[in-house]
Amino acid sequence: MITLRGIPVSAGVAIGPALVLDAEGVRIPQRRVAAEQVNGEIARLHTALAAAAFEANQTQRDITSRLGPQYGAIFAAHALLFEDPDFLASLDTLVRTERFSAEYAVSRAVRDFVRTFESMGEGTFLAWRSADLFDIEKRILKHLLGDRREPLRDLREPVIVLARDLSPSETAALDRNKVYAFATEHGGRTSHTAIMANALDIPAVVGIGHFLNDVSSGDPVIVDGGEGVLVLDPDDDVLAQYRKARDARLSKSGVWVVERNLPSVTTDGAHIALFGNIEFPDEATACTARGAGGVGLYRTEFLYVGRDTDPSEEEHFRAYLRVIREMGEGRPVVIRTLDLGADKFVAAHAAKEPEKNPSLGVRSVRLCLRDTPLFTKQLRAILRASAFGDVRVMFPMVATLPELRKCVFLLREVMEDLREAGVEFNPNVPIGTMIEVPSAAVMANEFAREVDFFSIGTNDLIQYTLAADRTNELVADLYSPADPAVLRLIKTVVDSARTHGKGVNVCGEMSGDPLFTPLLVGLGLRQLSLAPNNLPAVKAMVRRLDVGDCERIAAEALGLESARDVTNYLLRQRQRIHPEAAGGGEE
Amino acid sequence: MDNGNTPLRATVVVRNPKGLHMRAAYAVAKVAARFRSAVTIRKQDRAVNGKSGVSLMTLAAVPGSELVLEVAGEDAAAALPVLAEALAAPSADGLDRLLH
Repeated sequence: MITLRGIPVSAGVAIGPALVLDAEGVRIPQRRVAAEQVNGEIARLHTALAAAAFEANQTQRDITSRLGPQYGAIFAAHALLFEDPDFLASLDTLVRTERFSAEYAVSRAVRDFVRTFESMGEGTFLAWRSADLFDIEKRILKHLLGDRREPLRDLREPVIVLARDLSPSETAALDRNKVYAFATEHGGRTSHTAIMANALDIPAVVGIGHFLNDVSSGDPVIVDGGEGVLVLDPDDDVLAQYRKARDARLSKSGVWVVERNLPSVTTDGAHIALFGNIEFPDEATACTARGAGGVGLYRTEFLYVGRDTDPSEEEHFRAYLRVIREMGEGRPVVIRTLDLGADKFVAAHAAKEPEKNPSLGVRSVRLCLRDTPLFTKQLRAILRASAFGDVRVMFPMVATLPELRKCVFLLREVMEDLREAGVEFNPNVPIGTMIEVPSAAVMANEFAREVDFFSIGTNDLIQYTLAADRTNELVADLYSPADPAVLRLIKTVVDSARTHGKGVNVCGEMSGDPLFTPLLVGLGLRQLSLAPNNLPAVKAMVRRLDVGDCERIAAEALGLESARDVTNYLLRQRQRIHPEAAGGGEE
Repeated sequence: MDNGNTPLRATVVVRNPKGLHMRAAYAVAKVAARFRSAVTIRKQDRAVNGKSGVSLMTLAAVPGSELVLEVAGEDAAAALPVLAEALAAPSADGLDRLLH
C-alpha cells in the first residue's frame, strides 16, 4: 500500500480500478504490423484522417459562426494538415517501410515535426504551434482508436483515471458514470481542470508529483478528494474504512440527483430562485446541469489575472457572450465589474507603494473609479453583451452613495457613446450594487432608490462588520455568518429592497450552506446565488421549507445574542426540517 | 532553351508580423499546390517543400527572415511572382485571391 498526498480540488471518496494514461492521454505503444497487414493499416489510417478532417471542418464552421472567421481559420489550417503532402508522405513511409501501426505512425510523425520546430530555437514563437499539432494528433488517434479502445469514452467499467495531467476540456468530457474520480501528477488548485472537476462532482486530487510508475491499469486505488489523498493498492482495513465513508456520501447525493430537476419551491409554494456563482465561462455548464435559474454572480477577475496586459474589450465581450449563450433565453446573467485589489493586479495598475492595509485600500470599484479607461472598457463590453441576452451589471464594494452615482454616471456615459456609434445594447439593462460594506447596508434604503437590485456579498460584509480576517486563525472565530449583527444588517438590506420594490439576492458563501437556507428565506430572500456545486443540497432544503416556519426561525435568530447561539439554534432547526442533511460538509 | 529543370529563384523577406505561422504557412502551401512546378523554400541551410504547410512551419520563419524561393517546372515563370507575393504578404488574410 502506498499513500500519496496532493492538492484536494473536488471532494468525495472513490474506490475502483486504475486507468493509467500517459502525458498525451493515450498510451501509444510502438507496435509493428505484419507485411500482409500494411495495406489494411494504410486504409485505416486514411479513414481516420478523413474523419478527423471532417471534424476539423465542422469545428471551423462552428467557431466561425460563434467567434468570427479569423478564429475559424485556425481550424481550417488544422483541416489542411490532414491533406499535407509531407505529413502524408511521412505517415506512408512509417507504415509501409517501418511497418508501424497507424497509431504509432501518427504519434511518431507529429513528434518528428514538433522536434524539428523546437530545434529551430524560436521557442516562444513556436510554442503554440506544437500545441496545435498535438491537438491534431489527438483528433486522428481518437478516430483510429475509436472503435477499439478509446480510454475515456468507451469505458466498459467505471475507473479512476490516473494521468500526468488532464486538460480542462478532457475533464469536461469525462463521463461521471464511468469515471469515479481522477488524480494527476500536475495541476493546481485554481486550474480550470480543478474547477471543472468540482463542477462535475468528480472527486479529484491534483499536483501529487510523480507516481504513475508505481501503478498499472487495473490496480485497485482510492481517491479521497476532500483530503487530497490517493491510496495505491490499499490494505483491507483501509479499504473498509474508505468504503464506509464513500457509502455515506453516496446515499446523500442519491437524494440530490433525484431532486435535480424538481422546481425550487417551498412546501407552501413560494418560489426560491437559485442562481449560480461562476468565475470562468466554462462553469456556466455546471449551472445549467444543476438547473440554475441563471448566473447570479459572474466574477470577471479571471480576465485580468496572470497576464501582463489588460484584456481587450473583445476579450471581455467574448467571455460574456459565452456564458449568455450557454444560459440561453430567460436565464439572467449578472456580470460583476472588476473586483480586485491593487495588490493582485497587472503591473500597470499596481499601487506605486504597497498599501499598508489592502482590504481597506484601493480595491474593486475604488480602483475602477480611479482608472476610468479600464472601467469603461469593461462597461462597454457588458453593454454590448446586453444586446444578446438578459445581462445585468453589478458594482462591487460600493461604500457610499456618491461612489454608486459615479458608477451609474459612467455607465450612462458609455451608453451614450454606444448610441452615437450605432452599437446595439439594452438601454434598460438592470443595474445593481453589491452590499458588502457595512456603510452600504446601513444606507440601504437610500441605495435602493438608485438601483434595480442588491446582491448581498456576505463574505466581505462579515469581514468588515466584525473587523475579522477569517484567514487569520487568531481571529477567525469572530468571523461567522451567524453573527446577529450580520443577520440584522441583512434584514435591513432586504427590508429596504422590498420597500422600494427592488430585487435582492445573497451571493456569499452563506447562501450555499443549507444550514442558513431557512433563515435567509425567513428574512425575506427569494433569490440566492451560490456555487453550482451547492445547488442540489440547497434546493433539497428549500423543498422542505414552509415560509411561515422560516419567518419564525428568522425572528427567533434575530433575537439571539451570539453567533454560537444562532448556529446551535439553526442546527436544531435543520435537524427538525431535514434530518438527512445533517452531517453534511458544512460544519 | 529552359525546359524547367533549372530552378527560378527569388529572395523574399517575411513581412508578416507573426512570422510564417500556421495559417500563413498553409496559405502559402495552398497557393503553391496550384502549380505543377516543384516549389522549394530555403532558410539558411534548410530547404523544405513549399507545398507542405507543416514543413514550411518547421522553417520557424520569424518576421524579417530571409527566404529563398525556388521554383522548377513548366509553369515556374508564372508561379514565381505569385509565390513571392504570398510569402511576403503581411497577413494571411486575403491570400485566397492569389489562387485564381
